[in-house]
Amino acid sequence: MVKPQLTTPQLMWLVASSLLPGLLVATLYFGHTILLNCAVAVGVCLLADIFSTRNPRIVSDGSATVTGLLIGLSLPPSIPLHLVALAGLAAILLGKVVFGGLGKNTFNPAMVGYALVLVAFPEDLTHFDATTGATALDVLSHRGGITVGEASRSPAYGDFGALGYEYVNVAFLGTGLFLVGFRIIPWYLPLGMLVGLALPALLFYDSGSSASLGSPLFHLFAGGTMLAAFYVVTDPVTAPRSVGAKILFATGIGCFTLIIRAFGAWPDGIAFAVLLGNAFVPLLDKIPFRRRLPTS
Amino acid sequence: MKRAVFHVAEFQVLNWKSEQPEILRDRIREAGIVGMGGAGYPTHEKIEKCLAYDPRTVLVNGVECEPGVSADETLIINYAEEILEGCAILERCLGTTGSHLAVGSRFVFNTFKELKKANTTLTVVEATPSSGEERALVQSVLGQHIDSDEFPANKGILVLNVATVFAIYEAVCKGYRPQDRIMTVNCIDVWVPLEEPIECIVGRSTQLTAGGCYTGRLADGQQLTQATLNAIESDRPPNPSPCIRCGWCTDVCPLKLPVEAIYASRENEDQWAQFAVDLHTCFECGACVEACPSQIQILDVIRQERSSLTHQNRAKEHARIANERFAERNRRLERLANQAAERRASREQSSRKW
Repeated sequence: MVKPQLTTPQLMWLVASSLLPGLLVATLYFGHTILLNCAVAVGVCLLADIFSTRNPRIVSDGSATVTGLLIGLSLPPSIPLHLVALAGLAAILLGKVVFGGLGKNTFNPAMVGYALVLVAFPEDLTHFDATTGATALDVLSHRGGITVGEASRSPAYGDFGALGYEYVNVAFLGTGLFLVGFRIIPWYLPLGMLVGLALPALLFYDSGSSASLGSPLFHLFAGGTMLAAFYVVTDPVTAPRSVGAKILFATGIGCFTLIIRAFGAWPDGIAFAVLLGNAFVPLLDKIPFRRRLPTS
Repeated sequence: MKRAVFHVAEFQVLNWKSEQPEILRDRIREAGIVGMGGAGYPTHEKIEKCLAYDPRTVLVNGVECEPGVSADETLIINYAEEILEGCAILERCLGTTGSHLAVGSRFVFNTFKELKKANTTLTVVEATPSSGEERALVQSVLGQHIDSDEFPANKGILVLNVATVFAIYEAVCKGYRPQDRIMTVNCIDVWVPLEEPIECIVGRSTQLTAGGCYTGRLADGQQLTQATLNAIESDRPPNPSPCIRCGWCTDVCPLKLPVEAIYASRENEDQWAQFAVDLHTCFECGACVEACPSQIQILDVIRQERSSLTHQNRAKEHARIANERFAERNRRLERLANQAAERRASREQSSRKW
């Protein structure tokens, strides 16, 4: 077992570049606006990082780039650019700098920025432009009396997930598995989150009545599931320490995501689920998970 | 390889095949040979300790623990015959037959196979940062478990570094006192004279490291080279990035210590206490430093915490002793006062003599 001898900045840049295939697929489905969003978010994050640390060389550590890319990818393509900039600013300042910089933050910076914009400007995020209409998760969330089976025939649904999002998710699944294969991220975090999301969905799936929560396959390939599972939950800074706590943490985020998607007011609750999970980290760190005492 | 010092025979050359074991042991003591693997334990004492516990075998440690250091390997490749002869001398000292030589790579193993002698068993140990530690080595070569509060010598196993064995060979067969050793100086293996300021060897630098780049300590240029030192580096990795809690240090720790938690508690003295056992178990293999993507010198933190903990414990012990002495003093004063009162009372009650 040979670990890649990479430095922290190299790791960050590797993660950032592995987001690019997903960004490309998203551009194909949602148009060039998502590219613009990503560029604005990355630019604002870098500027905020430089101004807060007064050190232009901070750009080379790559963490602000990853944060900016995650924000650009998770925000809907039709959002006004000033909101993207606000999300980036909030991510770096409220998500990272106030805690003392890289490595000390409790909450995932990208999710802090995203959640802030989501809470402050809900109409800009949940209402998509007229051409694409509502997202599949929106239809699921506000379906009223229709069954899930009927809802899944709405134009917002694709072949097996949400229209467009399914292939973006497949792209993130691919690059995420690449990172897992090279041991950049541990395998149990994404798997824990996906199982935590899909298993309850499978248990409560009754082939699509009006009270159903939606099929597990749909949940796995809708919204930002794969992006969150491979790029947000695996952020080492905001994850707990021991393996057992990490599995609990990831599974909990998966469950929270399903609960918010099915019963919450917001269509996609991954950001809130992640922030909720982050808030549990100090508690999870206190659990003594089989502290093996030295034997020799 | 060119030796760093011109050696003069200080002792009479012994023919170890015919000499008494006591004379060989005296020679090892007179030559002032200490363990050259790092601990610097006097070798003759180790041999005597081993003799006291029913000597079983000699285990020569040629497993290079640390990445980036290859001093032992170079010594084995260049002086294989001398080391095997040193093994035979040690066997005679202990009165045992058979010795084990553990090496860290297949390449070194092949070097030895050509001139293998009947008594020395050769083993290849997978060279991980921890496999050269003596207890781990005894476990992997001889299959015997040794608790962390015991020494291999207590079980009759004499574990010595190859450099020590080579020094023993020279002391017995050439009459030399150890005056130089092979060190990895900035990744090149050379003979380096002992008791020489470090900066005379690698030049002036503010980032001199005594030891390899992962386990070494920041050194002053005036610090002298010692027999226990196996590497010198003239620069350390500068400016570590902040810790991102990736936990790789914890993953690679051979003792499964919570390295990341220990590092995270570095600014909080109250939290060190819960890691006291872990801090004292750590044998500073440097695996965590190697694994760290942020290039943090975790060992420096562990050493610092350990020494502060020792200081704290010592201060606590001193306070406890002072407290006891104070209480004892108070009791003594009280007792004296009571006795004086009793005497006065008895004097007052007794009739006057005058």
